[in-house]
Amino acid sequence: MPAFVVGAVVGILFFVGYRYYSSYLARRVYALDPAFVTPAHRFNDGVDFVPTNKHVLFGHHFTSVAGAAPIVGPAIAVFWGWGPALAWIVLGTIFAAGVHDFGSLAVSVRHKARSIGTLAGEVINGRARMLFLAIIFFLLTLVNAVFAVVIGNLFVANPGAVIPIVLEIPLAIFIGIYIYRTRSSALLPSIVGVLVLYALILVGNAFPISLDGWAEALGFEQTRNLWVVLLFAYTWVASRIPVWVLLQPRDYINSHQLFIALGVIALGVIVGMDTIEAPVVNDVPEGAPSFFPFLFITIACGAISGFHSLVASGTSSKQLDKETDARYVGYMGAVGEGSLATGSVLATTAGVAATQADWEALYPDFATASGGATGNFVNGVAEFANNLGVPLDLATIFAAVVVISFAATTMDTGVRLQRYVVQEIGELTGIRVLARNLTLATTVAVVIPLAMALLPGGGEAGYTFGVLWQLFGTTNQLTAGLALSVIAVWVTRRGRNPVAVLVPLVFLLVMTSWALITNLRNFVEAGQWVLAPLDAVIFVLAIWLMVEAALSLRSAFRDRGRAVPAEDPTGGGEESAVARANPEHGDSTAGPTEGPGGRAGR
Amino acid sequence: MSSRVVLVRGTRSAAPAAGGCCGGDVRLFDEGGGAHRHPPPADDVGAVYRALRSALPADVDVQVVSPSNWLWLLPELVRGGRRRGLRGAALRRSVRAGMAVSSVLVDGVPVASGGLPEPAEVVALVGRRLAPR
Repeated sequence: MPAFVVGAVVGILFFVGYRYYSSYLARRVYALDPAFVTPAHRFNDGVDFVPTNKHVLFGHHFTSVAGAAPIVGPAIAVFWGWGPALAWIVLGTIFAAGVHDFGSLAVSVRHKARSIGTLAGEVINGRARMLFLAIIFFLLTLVNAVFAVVIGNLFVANPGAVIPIVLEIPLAIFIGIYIYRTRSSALLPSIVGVLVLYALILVGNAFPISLDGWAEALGFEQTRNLWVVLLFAYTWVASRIPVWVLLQPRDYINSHQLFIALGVIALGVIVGMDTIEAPVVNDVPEGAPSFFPFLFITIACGAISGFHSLVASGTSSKQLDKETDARYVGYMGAVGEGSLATGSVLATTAGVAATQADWEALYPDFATASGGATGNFVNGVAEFANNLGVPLDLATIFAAVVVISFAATTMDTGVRLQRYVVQEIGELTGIRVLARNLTLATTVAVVIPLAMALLPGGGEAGYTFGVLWQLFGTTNQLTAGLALSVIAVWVTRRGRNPVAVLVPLVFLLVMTSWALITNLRNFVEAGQWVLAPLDAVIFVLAIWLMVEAALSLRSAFRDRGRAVPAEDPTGGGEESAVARANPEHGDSTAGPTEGPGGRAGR
Repeated sequence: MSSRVVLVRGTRSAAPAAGGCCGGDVRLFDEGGGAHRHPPPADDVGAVYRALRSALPADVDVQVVSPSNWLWLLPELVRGGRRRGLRGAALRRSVRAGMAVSSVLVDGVPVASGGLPEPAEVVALVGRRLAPR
């Protein structure tokens, strides 16, 4: 089947989902009120709380949620065939991710733009905050571990990408300092940065760098592991320097790359008229994981990702101009990520192979599929770029550079976030040195995922990566489960029909638990004593989440008939911590510029 | 038509965003852990925003935009420049000035570029620009 037809059908389904289902959610489930005074207006401080044009906010929200993760998961999941992978992406985006991302934003806005961690404590109970912290700790550990492995694999497979990626670091620092010193536009330097980066592909192609000799000399079993060690050493340093020096200018470069990659995939598919060579449903070999339940945790980002609730409730909700904008920003953010995941499916089923036999050689078993997934995406996108006239060897390095840039930025931010979590855990457990000592907190944030990336041996490397990826997907789904629990309780207490939230919540909890139990049995039987305890701990978190969700929902259903105090349409109530931190301008609702609804500036 | 004032954030206060799933711009906590976030020192955009918001009439839209959000900023500046009759090199100069960090735009036309003046001065600059409306 022509890939562009599949892409167009998915696009139409996403449009229908946005047009009708998100409209239903907005009216009947979240009951958005255009007159509600959002926290951006109530606590308007021009820093964190700023009423923002919905298109501006969508740009920020989308670039915060779209990255490497929705590429890798689908690239592995096409192992079960493109039909199940695409069906989960489409149904997940429309009925799960849209509900979750939109709902996180809507509930947060009604609770003074509090983050999902705080909301879990408020809406469910105090224990839920601790549960949130534990889930996030494992989520970030696994994020950093899997992306280190992804980058390591890509460096080994594409030695031509090493020079561009390594030189992107001083390039970004130079751009950051240039913008800071000259206070000039970020656009031109970042475009020049992208051009220089792509020019460096020529250099990288001429001088590929392999660490095989060093890895052997240093006693590493695989060259990839040496890259993993180097990457964590780099993130230990990078996560401690100010964001405007490296992270932010690289963000500028990445934001261009995101659109370039999406454009190359869309145009390449149309121009090349590539056809999908993978089977609709793959007849997987005996002993391979079944697509029920593993497909649903292999594709997390791209179908539903709990991480989006952190973005929606953490920053986007503080900038929502009108409550009704939550539909566009939240639901469309999910659709944007689903589109990227669809691109990944097309690249790994149409771009990467010319015949079904070629494709089957790339996906013969789960281990090979997992180990080679990102490389297959890179080669698929390279084929699409080749359709547009870019020589294949350069196109391959280009695609690798795009994926590595995203993954490296995710690692930089992930280690930084993990450091905050480690410090928070130090605070809660009374281990003050952990809370106060930045070096120690960063080291802990780096060493644990490093161990996860290196230690789980005892199996084929590709298989091990595949299960690590599934554990990452599981923790991401548990984060989504926690956010959906908060949303479901909130909706139920208001006497509205919670089915739209309960269905994805129950589905996710069943799939994650099923996968965790199956994997636990497999790990124990295989004697994998790193993965088994990790799986068991995550399973305990899943059970804990189910108990908390069930208890709070039971209580919400019991209270359903009783009068629930409606939110003050003027957004009044207790101030948030961030607003309290800005007392001189905490409450602007009484300001002279407010309109009748208390909304300024529109 | 109501007017729009745009404040382009400085390099230090614009949050990094393109970390992507799972590493974008997030706040894990509102309290407690928030203390560990070590946010970069905010630039003056907040004070300028508040001064403008309290001085300008409600029908004037005030937006704060990250300098990385060129997809929104660029058309805004081109439209503003064209409305003012700018073409060619003059339009390019106007767009460049408006895309600079810490800038102030009124209806797509830069009135301050590459650094935010004191809030009172920005209010005066914007007021002068809006006066002929």
